[in-house]
Amino acid sequence: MQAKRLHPAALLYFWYQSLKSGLLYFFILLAFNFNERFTGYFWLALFAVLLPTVVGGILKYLRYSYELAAQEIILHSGVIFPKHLHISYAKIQTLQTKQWFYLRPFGLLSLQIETSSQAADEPEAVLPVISRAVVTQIQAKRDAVLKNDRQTEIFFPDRDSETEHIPASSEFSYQIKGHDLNLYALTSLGFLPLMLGFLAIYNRLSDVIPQKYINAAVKTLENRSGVVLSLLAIVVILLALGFSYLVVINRYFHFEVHPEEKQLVTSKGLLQQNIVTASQEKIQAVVISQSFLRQALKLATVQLVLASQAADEEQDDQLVLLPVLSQGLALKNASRLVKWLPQKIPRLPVGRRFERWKIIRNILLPTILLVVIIGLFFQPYGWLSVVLLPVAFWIGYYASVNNRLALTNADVLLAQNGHLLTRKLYLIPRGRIQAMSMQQTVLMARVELSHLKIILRSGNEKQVVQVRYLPKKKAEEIYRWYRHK
Amino acid sequence: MEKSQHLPERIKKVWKISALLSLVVGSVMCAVIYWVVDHFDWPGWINYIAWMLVLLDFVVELLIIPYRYRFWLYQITTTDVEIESGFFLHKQTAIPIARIQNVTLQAGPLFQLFHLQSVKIETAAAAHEIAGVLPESAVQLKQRLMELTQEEDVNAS
Repeated sequence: MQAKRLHPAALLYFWYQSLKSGLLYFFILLAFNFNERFTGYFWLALFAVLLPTVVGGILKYLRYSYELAAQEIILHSGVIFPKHLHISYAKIQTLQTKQWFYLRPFGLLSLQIETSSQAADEPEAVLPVISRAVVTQIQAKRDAVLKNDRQTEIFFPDRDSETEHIPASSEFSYQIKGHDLNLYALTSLGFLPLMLGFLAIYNRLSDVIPQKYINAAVKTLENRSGVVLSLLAIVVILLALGFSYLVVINRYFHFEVHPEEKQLVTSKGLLQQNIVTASQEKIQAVVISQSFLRQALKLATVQLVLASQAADEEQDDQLVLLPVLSQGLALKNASRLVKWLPQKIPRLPVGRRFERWKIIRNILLPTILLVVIIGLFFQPYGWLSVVLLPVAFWIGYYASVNNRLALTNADVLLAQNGHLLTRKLYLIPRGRIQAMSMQQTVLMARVELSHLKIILRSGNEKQVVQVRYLPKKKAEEIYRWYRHK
Repeated sequence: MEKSQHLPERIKKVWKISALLSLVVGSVMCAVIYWVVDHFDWPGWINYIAWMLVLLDFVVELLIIPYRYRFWLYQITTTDVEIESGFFLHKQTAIPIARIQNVTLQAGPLFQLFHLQSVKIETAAAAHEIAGVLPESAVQLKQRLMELTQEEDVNAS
């Protein structure tokens, strides 16, 4: 088959890419504009940046082509250093398409292809602007290869063979309802980091804005003091809330998930539609997570730990499988999408009192130290930081009651922790645990306690799930289960 | 099942020499600091602190060698590799052979001098290290891991 170029609109993409780096140089040039020496040459400098951008973009476009061969997809790229990338269809693990709203009328989108290779922290291949027909073609070729695989499997029958996994999963699909999406966005705690972000921006601004304006502003504030300040605080909180609401709506708009062959397909997004086709084999663990807020409303989110970069932009790098549903339904619905998930899980036992106390102590002691230091150094207002103590106690208490561990009879480990007021229950099949550690300090050994660390792969990196201060016997039992003894 | 193994005795010498080396490097750094303090009129107590830190590091590194040796254990069975280390913070890790992706043998100049090798065991998620083994057991170990890996299903990512 002949090598094909990308759609001409890709030219805009390449221009945009090189313009970004071009403008960076331009601004660096301006920043070093000491003594106004370059000022007369402004247009010349701009031209010097734009010319390579335009020409470079065209060259890159002309040199970028792809070929859909019978067994593999071949990408040619590079102006000075030509590069030829071969990816066999059978090795494609994750396909991800992204479509900006302005490309939708033209039926154009960007495609990212990932294999198991661990070479870089980015997808193996990106086709920036192609038509949907090409994506369908690639998918069809890949599905054909997968089907062939299945036929060979029948010759060597094993547990995964056709008859077993079709009935449970193939029919089920899930679309988010408007009400649920609204609920999901409203209960998002994303506004908290956003507020910190606003504060950071304010800090930066106060460095940049001349002092006299700040002084003037402070003076007007002093005059009206209390009322204005609290109004300002309310405005900041509302802004952060509104912004985080819109971010969530934009990201999970029209969320849909369904199984397909041995894959899961999720699609979502308002301004940019994002479709991820991930192979079931890539699922390392399933996470049911609830912030304290959603917990109070009995809502849960189901996420996947994937050995793929496709989830990089999502919260905690975990792909959202089911954004929001009532706590009781979470596992039931998830188990229709992920076949090894158990339908029901045993109750997870809560730790003994002195084990829980150790978790609370670990956060309380440093906070007390911090409060004392702040109090002594910033007399007398520093002592106001005492309000941190109940917050720390709450965070510690939350972590301590949610720190739990259990085994199902289906060779799936249940590990739960409550970090920063968010409860996460990990369901991990034994075969996906890369390694397991027991860890204890001398003092813990004396009272027969031990931490248990479960090492998973997430993206291209490791993720450690930790359950703390377990009775040593229990930790050893799980450790032995893992070692098959 | 086999018994857990200690690292080879020789590694104690390597640790001693590397403690000595860090003393030498520390001394050079102290000399530089001495010059800077003198040249830029920095307060003199910086010198004492620097020396104290370097000496403390040396003494502690030397003193913990017997403990480090005693609590460093590894074990290779037909199904997994187990690594155990630490006294104050004891850690015990199991890595199933089915999860191992590759094994790297490595020896720096000191290790070469004492005919030792470190073994790095890599899974899809993380790398684990056996601090030092004799070259013949390193090769054996590598071969054993490779044989066992071939028997197991290596498809799991």
